[in-house]
Amino acid sequence: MKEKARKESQKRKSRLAKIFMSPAILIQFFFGWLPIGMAFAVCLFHYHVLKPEEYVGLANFQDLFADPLTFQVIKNTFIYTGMSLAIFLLPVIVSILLMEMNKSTIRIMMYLWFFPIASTASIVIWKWMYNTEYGLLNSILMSLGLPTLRWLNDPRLVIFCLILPGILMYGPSLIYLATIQSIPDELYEAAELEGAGFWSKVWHITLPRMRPVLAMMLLLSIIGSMSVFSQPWILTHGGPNNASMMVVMRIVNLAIYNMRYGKGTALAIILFAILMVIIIIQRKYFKEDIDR
Amino acid sequence: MIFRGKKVKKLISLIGIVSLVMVTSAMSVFAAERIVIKVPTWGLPEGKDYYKVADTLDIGAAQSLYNVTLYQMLNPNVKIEHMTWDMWSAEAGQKLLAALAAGTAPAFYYTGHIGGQQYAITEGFCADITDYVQDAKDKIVWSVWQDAWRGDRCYGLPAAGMYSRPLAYRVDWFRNAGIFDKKGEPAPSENWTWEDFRNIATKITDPKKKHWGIGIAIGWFWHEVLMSYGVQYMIPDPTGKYTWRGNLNCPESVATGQFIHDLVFKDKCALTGTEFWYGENNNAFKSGKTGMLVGINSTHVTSVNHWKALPEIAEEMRAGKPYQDVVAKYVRLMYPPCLPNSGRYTRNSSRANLFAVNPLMSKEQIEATTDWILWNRQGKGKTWGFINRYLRGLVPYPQVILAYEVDTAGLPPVENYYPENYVKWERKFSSIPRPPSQSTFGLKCSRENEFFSVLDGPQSASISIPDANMKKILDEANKRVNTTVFNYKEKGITSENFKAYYNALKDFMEKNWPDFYKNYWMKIYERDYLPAFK
Repeated sequence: MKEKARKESQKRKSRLAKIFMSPAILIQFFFGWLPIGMAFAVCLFHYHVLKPEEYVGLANFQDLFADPLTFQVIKNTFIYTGMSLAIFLLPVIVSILLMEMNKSTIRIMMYLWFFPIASTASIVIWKWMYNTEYGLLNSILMSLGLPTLRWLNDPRLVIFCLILPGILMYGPSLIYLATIQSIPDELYEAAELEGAGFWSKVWHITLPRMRPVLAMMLLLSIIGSMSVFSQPWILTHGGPNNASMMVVMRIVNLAIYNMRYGKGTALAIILFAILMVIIIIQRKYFKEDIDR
Repeated sequence: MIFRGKKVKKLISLIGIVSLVMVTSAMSVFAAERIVIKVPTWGLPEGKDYYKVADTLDIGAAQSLYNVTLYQMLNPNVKIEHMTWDMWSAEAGQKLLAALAAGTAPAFYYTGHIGGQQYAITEGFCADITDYVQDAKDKIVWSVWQDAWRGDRCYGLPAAGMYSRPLAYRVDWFRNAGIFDKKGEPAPSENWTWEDFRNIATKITDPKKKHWGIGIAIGWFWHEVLMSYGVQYMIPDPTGKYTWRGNLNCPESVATGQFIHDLVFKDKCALTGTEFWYGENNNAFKSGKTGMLVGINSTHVTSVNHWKALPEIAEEMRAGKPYQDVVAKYVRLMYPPCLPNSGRYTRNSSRANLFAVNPLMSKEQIEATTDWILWNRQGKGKTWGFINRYLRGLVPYPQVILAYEVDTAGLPPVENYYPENYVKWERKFSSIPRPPSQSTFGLKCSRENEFFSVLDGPQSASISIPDANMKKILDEANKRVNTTVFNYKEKGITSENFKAYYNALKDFMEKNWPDFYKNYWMKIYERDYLPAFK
């Protein structure tokens, strides 16, 4: 009897769990999985808003692979991502250096770091800071007697210019600081008793303990950088001569402004495939388990 | 008891049933007769709040309410509902497409943000309103209406005002630099060439004062220069395998790119950059950084507020001097430059924004919407619009040039409110003949938007890369266009369509611009168009 009652209770709990989970699953299905599934269908069509769609097979992919701009935007996006990953390390280093400070200082630093994340509005300010004729950056260079730069108008410099606002707008240090603060003090005290110095503590305690968070943040950083949109959109519109055109910007241009929904979706599928490969490699080689 | 008798009960039941039937049929008849159209409004509150704005003494809202009431009295079978709608912002196109897909779009809308009128017709975004515009044919300026037609079918109506794209220049800068026309006025000559333009831009540039001769917004300036050569961006495919071929690397296009590149890097007389777009260009002129502005929308310059940002104008207007006198001292309008020995050739004639009627509505709603647009922009409604805008003082006079023939009797003459130079140039622009529209000859291009986005690359290269090889860049762009954008054939277009259109264009050029036709255009015709239908 007891066994039956236990099974009944388990069934009831399982039913309740399903009921509570169903809104989240439905939202995930309709706004997450279904659009992804539909994208795989849309990329095979020439899609119209009011007229019936025309099946074109792989023609959208053929068009994309015949277009040198497709390879250029993928290359631009990889360069941007590579440079962003260098920045990814910056907050980690700063957070580790903050570790030795007292808690009130850390709190102030956290506020300061979070403060510039005002939104994309702050990117607009950068547009004027970069202006070659009357921008702040060139004024500083001139006042120092240095030659001015063409910033957003220089194809060799433009991607770096897009990364720069990211340094100030980068907020994950909060997550790193929270992770560092969650490491038990006893571990450091024991290490200090053994005669460990600052870098030794960082190498043997802090970094291994941060590994799961670093793994997740690295992944998010790669995904975020590969889908960058607002910086180039606001600052350069992809110029000069497509030197700062990124994959997502090209997708938006194709699907929204050129109304080539199928072709835009096909490029989104290509980006999806690239990201999946990166994620699989990252999951395979970047161990998250602290004890391994 | 009164209701006890069987006959009485039967009678009551009968009366009940008859009343029910009568009420129901009256309701259904009423419902059937009231045609509801959702008219877009911008800048006014939504829903019921819309009707409260009359209490705020907002003349615009009151006039709008007056128009709705009057129209409904004249047409008791039509009910107009207001729908707040983003008609003009940069995101308006995306919102409209989403609304069309969801079936929630307003009764009519501007097609400029959804790929232009021709694309909108091709994609089925515009209802066929030919049957409802027959009476309006004599009352609408054909040159600005022709783009709303495909063959003999009509798919749109112009908004009320026409506009042109003149060149605005700083009179005081010209005077200080000693640039005068034959009459001794601080102005370029009427037949000035691009070379004259370049010399003037260099002359009025003063890096110390942070003054530049010209601002170059990506796209706009390129278009202005290229159009003066009389070429077209896309040409018919001479092989007949595809419909269109790109014309981005024609000699005129390369010369345009090189000219712009030289202004920026050789003459250093242009304020520009990849971040410098239409809005930034206008603002640079209005804040006194540039001395000439190419491609200004003339309806903007007719607003009293438009030039107020210029400190000199603001100061004098604050002192109470009349608008037309103050503005004329600082900013005047002019034709854009042309090629040497081309006569006064320009394609810069007046044009108008086009509205399409929502094709997802019923036939009755489409008819009612067309009638409402015509009445509101041409009939009694428009007359009230004049008075409203005049009273509000936002515009000294609603429009210098109108797309509709409207009875303006009793209103003060335009010259009372505008600088003489503005009225003169607006009238000149409106008298420029417009070439025949491709669409009236059944021609279309479904991928025009994608094509123009390819041009962004060369255009931004011309203003930002000091050692840019414009020929090479344009060759590559054109190759991209031909292999990835124009690699298809439009249905229903034959060489006969091309022949009819380009020959009509030839007749037009020969008749209206004989010098340009003889010295420039005939060669372009033989090179770009003739091979497709020879």
